[in-house]
Amino acid sequence: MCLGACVAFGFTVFSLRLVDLQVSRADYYSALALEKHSTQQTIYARRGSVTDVNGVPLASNEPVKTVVIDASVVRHSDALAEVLSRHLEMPLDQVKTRLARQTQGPNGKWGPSPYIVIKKEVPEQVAEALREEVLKRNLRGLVFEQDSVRVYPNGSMLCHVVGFVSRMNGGLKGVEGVERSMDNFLKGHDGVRFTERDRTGKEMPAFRHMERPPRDGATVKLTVDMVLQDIVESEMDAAMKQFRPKMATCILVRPATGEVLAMVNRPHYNLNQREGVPDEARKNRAIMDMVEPGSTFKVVTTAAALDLKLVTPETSINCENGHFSYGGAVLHDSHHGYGDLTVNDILVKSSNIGVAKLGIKLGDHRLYDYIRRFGFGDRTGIQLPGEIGGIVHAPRHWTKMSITHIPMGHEVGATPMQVVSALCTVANRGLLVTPQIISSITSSSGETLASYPPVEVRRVIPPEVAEQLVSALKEVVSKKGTASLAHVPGFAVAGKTGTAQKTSPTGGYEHGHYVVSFAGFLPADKPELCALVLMDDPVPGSTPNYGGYIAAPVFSRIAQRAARHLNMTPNPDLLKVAGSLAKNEGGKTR
Amino acid sequence: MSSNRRRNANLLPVARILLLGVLLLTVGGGALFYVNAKNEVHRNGQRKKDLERELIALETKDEVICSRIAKLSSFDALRKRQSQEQEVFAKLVPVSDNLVVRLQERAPVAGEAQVRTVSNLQPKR
Repeated sequence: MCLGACVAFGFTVFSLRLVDLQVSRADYYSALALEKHSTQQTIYARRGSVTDVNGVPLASNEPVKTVVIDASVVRHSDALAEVLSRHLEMPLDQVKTRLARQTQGPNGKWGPSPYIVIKKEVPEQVAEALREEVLKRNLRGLVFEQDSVRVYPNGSMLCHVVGFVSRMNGGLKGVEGVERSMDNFLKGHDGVRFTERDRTGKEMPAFRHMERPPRDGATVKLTVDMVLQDIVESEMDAAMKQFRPKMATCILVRPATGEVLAMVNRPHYNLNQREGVPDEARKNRAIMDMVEPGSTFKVVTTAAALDLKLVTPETSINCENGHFSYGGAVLHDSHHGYGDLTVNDILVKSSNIGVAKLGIKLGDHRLYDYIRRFGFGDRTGIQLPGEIGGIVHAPRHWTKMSITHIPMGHEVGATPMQVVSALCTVANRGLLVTPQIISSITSSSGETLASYPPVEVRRVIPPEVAEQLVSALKEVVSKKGTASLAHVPGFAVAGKTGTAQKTSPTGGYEHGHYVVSFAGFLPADKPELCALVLMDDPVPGSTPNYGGYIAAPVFSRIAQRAARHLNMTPNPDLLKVAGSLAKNEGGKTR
Repeated sequence: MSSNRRRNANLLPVARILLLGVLLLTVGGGALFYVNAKNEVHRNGQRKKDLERELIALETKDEVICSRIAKLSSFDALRKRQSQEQEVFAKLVPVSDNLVVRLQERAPVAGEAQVRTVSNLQPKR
């Protein structure tokens, strides 16, 4: 009887406990069980690649492994340390120290750590060799974790445009260049998977719950053509060797569409070896650096004067024989003193006094208006980070001398990109087009996510005024102009030289230090290529320190090679002219 | 007579045993099938996992090879190789402009745009 009562009581207690566990606290325990056995796996998305216009990879991913040791299952730690040290090229002592690391377990006891990172970013081939040897020698505890690193196959080429990434919060984040500006497209979206594990921690694929697949990053195709980039890089390297400027920039643009075909800055750096690179080398000077454009800016002043019909190309302006007093200061012409020059010849001879007089004719507000219409003082809108808008002061801040200085490209801060964009406007017969460096963005499945058709900003000058300018700029690149060395056999070239005295950080100008440049396009009648070559403070040696002698020949060499690559057909008549020119000059200038 | 008959009639309850056997077989078979199905689910899961692993390994291998190709065929690498191994490889000689033959597009002749009949017949010898 008593036994029966005890059994009944026992069963009642167990039944109550069962009800308590299964009914009252069911949610709590099922959540606990789910937490213990269910895990959330992140499926990492691959970062998209960056290619040139022809699909040449500029930034891609390289799979690597992270070598991890679970020291709790290691039996022969000395043998394992020796193998690891040999394959991973690490000092044996360092590996042994890492293997001996102890951690406190959940029970509070200290023991061998189950997760020791031995080395990160181990190449796949090395990891494979290591795996084989470890398997052969039956060593336990080695785990490989999949990872990837960003590689830039072309090293330093196009470094300022491509940019680079940095590891942040476990992922890669674009820091500079296209890697930064297109980060949202490139990074992709990680996927997630909810799954269950058995008591040993192994995944049970049969019990996978919800799964959201990763979306790999998109491929960003640039407008840059690597063959043209290579041409420009090699010519700029040669120029750097010859003239040793503090910095140099060259931009190649297709004027009709605004597509940037090549962009080179010096100094530069290797994208795969960024440690210790000075900030100056990392700067994309084409869009981040401001210079006084110098005489290339005379195109803007002349365009304004012609458009407002204040002058015609044949209007004669007295250039005061090289000395012009205005506002209490004397203005000089840098090459020679000139008497009367037509407006055309003011550009051809690059007369400071002539263009200053055009500026005076225009007046502050009208000149300012045209400067802004050509895009100076605003960002061009190229899809690269960190672009600056330059400096164009409003007329109320101008001094008495500004109206003579600004027309010749002083007291104005412009980026090389703005200068080339302004010249493209003339090449486009007066139409300002936004420069673009991204051609298209394609998803990993091949779907086009975005494409970038040409963007016309505004009409700056009418086509007939642009034609007048083009004919003057063609003469600049003739025997009587300042840029005869910019000629390209077989093509009519239009362009303008620039030689601006460098501004001193303490105010005023530095004597004997110049920013020399040449901006031009070809063929002048139907431009397919527009380029700017700019060098800051070159050491000219026996060469005169002018844009026409330093930058123009570099332009010529680049344009010749680029024209052939772009399959531009030369004009046979101009080829003959070029041949006779070369015979007549016979090494006179070079 | 009647008692003998009764005894003989109750010797084996074949129908019941058969029913029980069928029930046991059904339940047992069902249980075995359930276990087998469960194992199959696990096996398939494992197979799926293995295939996934294999796919990842192949993708990784592909990425490694693509990356190597990109590195070896990059402009930077080719330029370096060209400058370092000029004795081994043929030196690249730039083609000068006077050696380039450009074929001008033929001027269209009147009536050229008209559709004409063509024949594949071989001319008689």
